[in-house]
Amino acid sequence: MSDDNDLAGNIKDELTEVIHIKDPKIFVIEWLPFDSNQLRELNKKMDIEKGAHKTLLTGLIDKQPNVPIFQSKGAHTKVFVEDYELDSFVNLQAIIDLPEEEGIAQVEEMAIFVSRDGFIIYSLELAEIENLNTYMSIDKITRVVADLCQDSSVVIDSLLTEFQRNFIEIIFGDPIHRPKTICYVGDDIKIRHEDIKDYYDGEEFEIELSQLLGEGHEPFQVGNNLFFKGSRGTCAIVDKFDKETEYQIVFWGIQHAMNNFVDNFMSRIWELYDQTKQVKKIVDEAVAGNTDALNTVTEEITVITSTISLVGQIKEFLKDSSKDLLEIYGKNEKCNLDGFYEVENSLKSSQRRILESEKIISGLLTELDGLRNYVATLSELQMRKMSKVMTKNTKSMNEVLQANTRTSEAIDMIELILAGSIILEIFAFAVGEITTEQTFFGSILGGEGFGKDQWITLALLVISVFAWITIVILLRRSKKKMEIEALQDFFVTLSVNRKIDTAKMEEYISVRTVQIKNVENDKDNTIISYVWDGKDDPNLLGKEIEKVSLSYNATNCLLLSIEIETSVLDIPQDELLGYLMEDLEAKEIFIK
Amino acid sequence: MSFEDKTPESSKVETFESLTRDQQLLLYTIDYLTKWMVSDEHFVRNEGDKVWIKELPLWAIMYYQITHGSYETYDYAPIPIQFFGRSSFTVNLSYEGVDDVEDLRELDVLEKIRLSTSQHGFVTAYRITEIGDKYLLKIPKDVIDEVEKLFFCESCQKRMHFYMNMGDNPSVLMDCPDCDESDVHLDFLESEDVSYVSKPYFLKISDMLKR
Repeated sequence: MSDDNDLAGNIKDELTEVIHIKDPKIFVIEWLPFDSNQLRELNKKMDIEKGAHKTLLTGLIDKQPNVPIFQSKGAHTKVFVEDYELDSFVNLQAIIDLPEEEGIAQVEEMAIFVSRDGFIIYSLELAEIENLNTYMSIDKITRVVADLCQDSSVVIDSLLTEFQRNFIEIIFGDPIHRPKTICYVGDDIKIRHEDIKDYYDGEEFEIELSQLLGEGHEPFQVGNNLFFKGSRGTCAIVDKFDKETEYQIVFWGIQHAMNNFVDNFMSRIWELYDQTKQVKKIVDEAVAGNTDALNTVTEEITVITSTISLVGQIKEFLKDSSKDLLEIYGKNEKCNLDGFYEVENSLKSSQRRILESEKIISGLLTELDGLRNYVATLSELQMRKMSKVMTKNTKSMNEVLQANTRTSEAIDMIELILAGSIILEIFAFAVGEITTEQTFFGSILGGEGFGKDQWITLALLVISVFAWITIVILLRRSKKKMEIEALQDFFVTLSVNRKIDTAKMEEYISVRTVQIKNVENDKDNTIISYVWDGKDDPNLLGKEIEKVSLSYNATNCLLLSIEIETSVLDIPQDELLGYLMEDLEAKEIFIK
Repeated sequence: MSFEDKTPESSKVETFESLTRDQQLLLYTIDYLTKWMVSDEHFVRNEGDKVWIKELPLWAIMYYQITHGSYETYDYAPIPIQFFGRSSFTVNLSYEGVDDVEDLRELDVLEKIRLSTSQHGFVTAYRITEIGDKYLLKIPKDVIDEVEKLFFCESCQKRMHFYMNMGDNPSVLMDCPDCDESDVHLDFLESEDVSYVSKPYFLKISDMLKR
């Protein structure tokens, strides 16, 4: 790695480098929701219980549980367990092997300390940057840190549970790009000022410190040792990096990381508060009668409530952790840096903020609960209104039906009268009006007997009754025919679910006059549907079938359903389906 | 805690001549951005309203100018910043530029405004004051040319417009309203890599971090 050509970079500008620190150590610190269970899960993932010493880490998921082999692209992070307590902490060594741009050579090894209290410390010593191996410029170090921040997220992401990933997504949105606290420690500084305040020149030195620590940083000096802390991190130049100094710096980083998390956590709560306000507006629209708004708002309330519940869970992790961290910090001895770093005050401030967030979370939940009840009442009212309208409609329908029945009966009566009138008209036209001095029965009863006239009259009466009945039947039939023609076609559907030879099926359909073909693809299946003309189907000629619809699953070769459409009501359903099914059997389309 | 104006009175009466070339270039850049960087079809300018340039696009343009050698003393470094109170992205930021913006504010040449965002973060924006307008009249032509040369399309010489996409995959680009192929992607959000070797540092205090 010391070959000059190896350690290059891709910086596009000539850098103005004024601060160089000797043998820098970097601590990247973040806080994530952890507890004993999460840590135990992490340790299990590391195979610790089997005593395994080296595990390749990957965030990949086994998506083919039934396949006995597994493929990967090759670039992974190697992790060694240095020390652990199953549900308290784990100390790891990671060798990161992630793809880099051409010409960039990185040997990235770091230690990772994960505590059940949620803090994760990625720590390393920089041995070389672009061929510099003693004093390294801040400009270059910040570029290393940008890389570390991203790579550390990738490494830890493969160790987290899905439960924790959900939390990260809720708070930061992006699982990789999240803020972290950086602590820098160097053994010496190349350009040393006797008084630390001389670094605050308003020019290059101060600007480089801002670049490293964020704006508004402040200094502290103890003899030869220099300390700076800012909004993004801290930097210490110390002759001897002893345990006390490390403890102060690392603990400042832990509280800063926790405060960072609380900042984002609070932002998320305020966002949820805004979303709830938005929901109230939609409820107002629903009150004004917008039924679409009523549907939307129910869904919105469910989503927001579920997110707030998760935020509430995160708050519990924060609450426990802040309490524990105060306890841990309190039990250890402090050095003279305690006053500068103010760790205890900051931890207490985090704790107060977390406790205060409880009020907002519970307020939001109560408000959402109220909104949910209000929306439920609105829905109920809406349902009642609909039910009333339905009852009214049903009543009207019944009235229409009754009127129809009465009309139908009246039509039947009219039919009879009409038939009678028609027959009388026919007779009047055929034989003219029959006039006798006495009526048919009068002449018989008057003793004139049953003569020729009576026979003729009787015959005419019988003929007219017979004709009347015939006309009534004819009228009925024509009425029924008109009714059938007014009705829509008749459909028969069969759910088949049998294995087919799809190639044969396609061949079968290819000789039909296909009117519609539809292909639906989803994640797992391809469903193909056809509709063809029944009158042009060589198998169905003369069978009075209008259309045939068929759909099959091309992925698992399953015939799903067939549907036959006919305008003739009196063909039995089995017969209709039989025409097609028997033909499919005969063509050996079904696989036995 | 009380705040006081720590600006030395003497600096407030400094004249245009006291500005460095980089400060003049920065001042003219801000003026240019507020006037030309957004096309009128995307931004309705109401007469009498003040136009401000937001911090993030200003930084992006500053980076673009640095990589094209416009500034004499600025460099940049990857700095993590949070977008709209959520994801933290690394941007190539020039702290020399940030410092000069503050210097120009101290001279009352620039003024600053803070806006809330819907994600409960804050956005800072800047505009040139009336004093600044007087300074602009004195900007030398070579500085004006230096600024403007980067904002005209190489093919058709039309003014380029500026766009920011702050979605899931944020990007910053300039494009020409007439030529489709002349988009300039500002790799402001892509941090540069350096080669390095690191070794793990195991905490001496791991025992002290346990309950």
